[in-house]
Amino acid sequence: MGRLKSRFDIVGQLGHLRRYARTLTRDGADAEDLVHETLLRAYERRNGFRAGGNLRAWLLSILHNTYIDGFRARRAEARRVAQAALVAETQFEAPQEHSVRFAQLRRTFLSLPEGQRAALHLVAIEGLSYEQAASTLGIPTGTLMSRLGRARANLRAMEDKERPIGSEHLRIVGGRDGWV
Amino acid sequence: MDGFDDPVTNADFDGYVDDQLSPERRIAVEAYLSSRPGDATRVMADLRTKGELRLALAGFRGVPRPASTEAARRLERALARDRWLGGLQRVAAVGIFVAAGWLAHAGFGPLLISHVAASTQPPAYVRDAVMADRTTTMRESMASQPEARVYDPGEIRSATAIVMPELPKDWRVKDVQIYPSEFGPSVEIAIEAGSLGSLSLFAVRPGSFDVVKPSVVTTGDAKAAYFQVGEVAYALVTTADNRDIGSAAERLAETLY
Repeated sequence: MGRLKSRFDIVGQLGHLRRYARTLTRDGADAEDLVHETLLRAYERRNGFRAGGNLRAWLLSILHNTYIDGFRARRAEARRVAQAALVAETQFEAPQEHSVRFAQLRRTFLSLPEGQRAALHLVAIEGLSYEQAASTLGIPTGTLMSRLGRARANLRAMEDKERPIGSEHLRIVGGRDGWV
Repeated sequence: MDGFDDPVTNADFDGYVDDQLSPERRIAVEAYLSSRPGDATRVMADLRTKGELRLALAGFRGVPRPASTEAARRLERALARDRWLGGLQRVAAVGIFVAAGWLAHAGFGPLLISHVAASTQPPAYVRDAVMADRTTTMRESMASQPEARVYDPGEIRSATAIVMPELPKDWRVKDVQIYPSEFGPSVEIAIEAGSLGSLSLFAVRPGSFDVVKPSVVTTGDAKAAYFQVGEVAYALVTTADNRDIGSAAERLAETLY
């Protein structure tokens, strides 16, 4: 039993699914709903999983399709993005000395257009190959690569814009938060 | 040239950062960058951002719910089981051919079983279904217990992992309640079912996987038609003398496939 179970370690994939869901939905509670819906759908479509296939890529592509097929539209009305972003920020735990820069990077990343965000997430964070990421998103590899290029260019541009503010100033705002 | 012929492009920089290049191409890009500080700065900045992004998003805890973990376990079990069944399929196929041959040989006659109402013990969840039906009837008569008339199968499914069948158009939902049961949360819906009168539909995850065609049982003054599709079991319960409850259950079961 234990051997069979480890072969299909879905529970072990939950962290990856939650992260990708969060990147797509930009909200913690929505992300969890999306993960749950993904697992139900994967259950129904489990015949589509080829023996020896990449379990994570299979689940990520179901998650992506679940998101595209209406999840996004249903949630868009239900929540206001601005409010969601505030709440979601509290759902992260990061090493203290990096938290300001990380928070800024997350904001920048989450403000990228959806296609670029998804491409960058699958490749840079999940470590999928270009081919796997392209098939997860259902787009040609060339399109994936151009989205990655644009995502990186956007991140660089936004970082350049924020640089003049200065890191010391940022540290005071984030670290002491009005106590000094 | 410097030992490489293809010109190094922006796509190569991304491929380098994303670790998608062959070892030869990586070296070519590194050779190119070693003599171009401007591009090298850009690539190093991209590498840094990638590493930081990983760390920044790795801390995401989200709001994990037990239902997701349970759904993940269910999928794990199903995948393992399907694999096992896949192995059995060939054996089963042989068995079916043998059985078919045997049946043909026997000329069908002796092997056909006449239609009888089986008197086997109903599954345990039927008792919960009857109890839920009684509770709902009691609630109906109490002014202080408001009925929940909003029936949202999508929400029920995402909260309880119970898939509800599609109700016939002329059925009217009077009350929807989530009740505890021996097997965990259950769904109980009180329905005004047109010509069938009042009945309730009960659904629960009994903890086993099975496909059971609708069967009708009578317990006390209640009559229940129970069936199971996959991991969810259902029971239609009525206290009226109702012959059609079995065929109603069959119609409901069909909407689940």
